[in-house]
Formats: sequence, C-alpha cells, structure tokens
Amino acid sequence: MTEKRKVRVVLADDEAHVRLYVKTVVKSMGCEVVGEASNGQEAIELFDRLSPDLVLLDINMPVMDGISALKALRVKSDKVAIVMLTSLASADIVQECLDAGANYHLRKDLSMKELKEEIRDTWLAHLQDQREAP
Amino acid sequence: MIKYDLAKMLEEIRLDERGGKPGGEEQKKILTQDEIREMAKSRRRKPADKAGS
Repeated sequence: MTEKRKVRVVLADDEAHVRLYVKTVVKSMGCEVVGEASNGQEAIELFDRLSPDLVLLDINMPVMDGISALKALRVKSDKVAIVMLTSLASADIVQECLDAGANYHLRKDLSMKELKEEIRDTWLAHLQDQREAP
Repeated sequence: MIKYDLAKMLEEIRLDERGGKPGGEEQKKILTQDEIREMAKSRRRKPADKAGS
C-alpha cells in the first residue's frame, strides 16, 4: 500500500443532496468516492465489490439502517474505517455505534471545513490504530 | 357537514402512541460534535477488546 494512493470511500445516505454534499467534501480532501449507496444493504454490496478504505454511513435509511450495516461490515472487516453520519446525535445512538465498532460519528450539520477536519482526523487516528494493532 | 379538527386528531393519535402520557418528548441527550469527539477519544484510549492476546 503506497502512501500516495487515494483513500477509497463508499458513501451511504438515502438523501441524494446529503450524498452530494459529503461527496464534495470528501473529494476536496483528495479521496476517491468509489461508490454511493442509498441504504445499508447496498453499502454492504458495494463494500464486498469495491473493498473501500473508508465507509461513511447514514443511520436512518430504508431497507437496512446504518447501525445494522455497521454491524454486518464489522463482521467482514476490522480494517475498514467506518464513520456514522446523523442529523440528531443522541447519546445512546452514538454509544451504540461506537460499541458496534464505528470509528467515529459525525453530525450532518457541520460546516464543510469542520466535516473535512473531522474526517481527516478520524482517518489519521484509524491509520495509527492499524499500525499499532498486533 | 362534519368539520374535523385535524390538529386535534393528530394530537390524540400521538397521545395514544405514547400510551396516554402527555408531553411526548423523550429526554434523550443530543450530543454536540465536541462531546462526540470526547466520547470517541476516551474509547480509543481504552485497550481494545479485539486486541486479544
């Protein structure tokens, strides 16, 4: 894995305008959005097909919600970074996501700058965790 | 002609859904991004369960 390789991202949200917003942010960071899903089931299928480095998962989605998708993805891989997205970050939901193996949890009402910083910091922390892993 | 008060009907439906309890809004704590960051950080500091041996 080379240092210069672009971080490959799968993005899952049922709202197209949210996907567009987050995609714009992620692309401006130099990442490559390799797939977009509108529900958790599609996100899992894209993960199987594309093996992304990072998955951004909305929580409230039809067909399969983000927390179920998170749990299914964590069974498949502990190497992929998973960041949850939500409009209302209630403490119990955030806790559940972290317990289920989410790397981080982002509120959707952040500015582009904040979103960028938070995603970057999460990715760097994830890389460090991976390096320190036995 | 019967006139329906839709707002009142909706309120009654919601009241039913709450089991007849007034108020409705559950007191769930909504976290700021700073609070989420702290929560995630404190979790990272703990030794990971998956570290195993």
